[in-house]
Amino acid sequence: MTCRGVRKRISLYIDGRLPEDARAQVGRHLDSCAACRSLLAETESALETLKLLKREAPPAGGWERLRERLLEQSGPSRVRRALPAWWWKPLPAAAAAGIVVLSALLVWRGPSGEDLAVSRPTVPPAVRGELRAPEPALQPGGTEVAVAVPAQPVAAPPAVTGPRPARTAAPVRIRASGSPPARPAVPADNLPAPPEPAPGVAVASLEPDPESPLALAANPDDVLDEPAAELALTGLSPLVAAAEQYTDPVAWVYDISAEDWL
Amino acid sequence: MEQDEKRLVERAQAGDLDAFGELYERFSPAVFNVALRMVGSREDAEDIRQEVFLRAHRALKEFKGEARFSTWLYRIAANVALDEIRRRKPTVSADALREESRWEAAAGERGDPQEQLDRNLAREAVQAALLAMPPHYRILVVLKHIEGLSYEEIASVLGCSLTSLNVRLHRARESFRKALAPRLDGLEESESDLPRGPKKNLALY
Repeated sequence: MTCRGVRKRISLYIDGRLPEDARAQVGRHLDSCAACRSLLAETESALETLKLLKREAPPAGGWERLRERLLEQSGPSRVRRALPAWWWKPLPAAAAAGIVVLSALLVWRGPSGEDLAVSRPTVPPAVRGELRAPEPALQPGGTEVAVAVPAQPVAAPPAVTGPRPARTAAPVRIRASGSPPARPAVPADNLPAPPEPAPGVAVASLEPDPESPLALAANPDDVLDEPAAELALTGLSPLVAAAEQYTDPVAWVYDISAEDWL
Repeated sequence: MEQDEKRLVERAQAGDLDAFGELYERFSPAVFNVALRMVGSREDAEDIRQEVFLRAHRALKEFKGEARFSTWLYRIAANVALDEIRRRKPTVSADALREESRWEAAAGERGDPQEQLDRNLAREAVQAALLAMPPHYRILVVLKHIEGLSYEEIASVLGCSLTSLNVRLHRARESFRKALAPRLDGLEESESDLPRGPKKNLALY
């Protein structure tokens, strides 16, 4: 084997990874070649110096730092990670603004219908007379607007799945003086009968709840005496509905009992 | 041991951060030392260690268990270190090396102060020789002679054949020998000014 051949194999020779016959040939060459022996010694001592580089302990607290970073990275939601930052950053502010607006709207629209049904005598008599539901026949100089108000919804949903029965409806007429005539009101008798519930569907009750403001509204005689029914029809709180009847923007305030403010 | 490692990996893959923490404590010293020898600075090595485990955590689901977890980590460490070296040129300053040497001295070795000094100088020369090598050879020397990996493990880490590794490792050793020789010569010359003389063979350490 030549010096060149030995130098090519010297690394494998050091590691003992040469086949037996090749190792024997290199060994024979080294016995006779001082230059190759010197190279072998120099290489072995250079590699030996690497043992000076002992393993060093890494800085302490590495896991705590890494854990923090991992938790930071896993914090944002998938959506947030998928969207660019300019998209999701304004979302919390917009959501907060939305909540504020919704809350304001809910407060403005007043308390629930059940509470309102208690506070009946809010609308002044004169206004009440104006809003009273007329007789079924058309009044001279007036206009009747037919408004179909849904009666009390079914007290409880059907216990089994299936088509829900249609809600009953009752006609309510509101006279709007000075308005052009609208189509005549349809008497309740002329309304089509509600469909029968599907066989096997349990219907808890189709009778209107007498306590409900909507049930009051379903009776033409009672409807316009009830502020809650006005609420059901107009969507306004009794305070606002009453205020709309006054020309003096302040006068109506004195006509409202303290209970109405609660 | 391997079963325990496998269980830890499976738990970590299922999202158990504590299990990943155990893997970190077990393997991060080796990753740190590979990085340290590749870049020569403890600070950079720590950055690389953290980056390696961040990437490992991100890619944990891709680990199929075909190789050992440590081998997989070494592969990530080699890639991160080589990327870092490519990104930051020059790799290490003389100040960093001196700082490294001081840190090692401060680590507290017992014995003859003269021998300590000689060892520290020799370490500095060896680390400087490593840093003078091309990075793709340096990683071979580090994995073989500092981490003590087998040929098969190194081939798996670097994704090369054993035949290719034989050639590359031979060249890497040649490169290291050539890089070290002038540094050891310089060290012997500087030691000639020391009271105890220069005739010590540094390779004997």
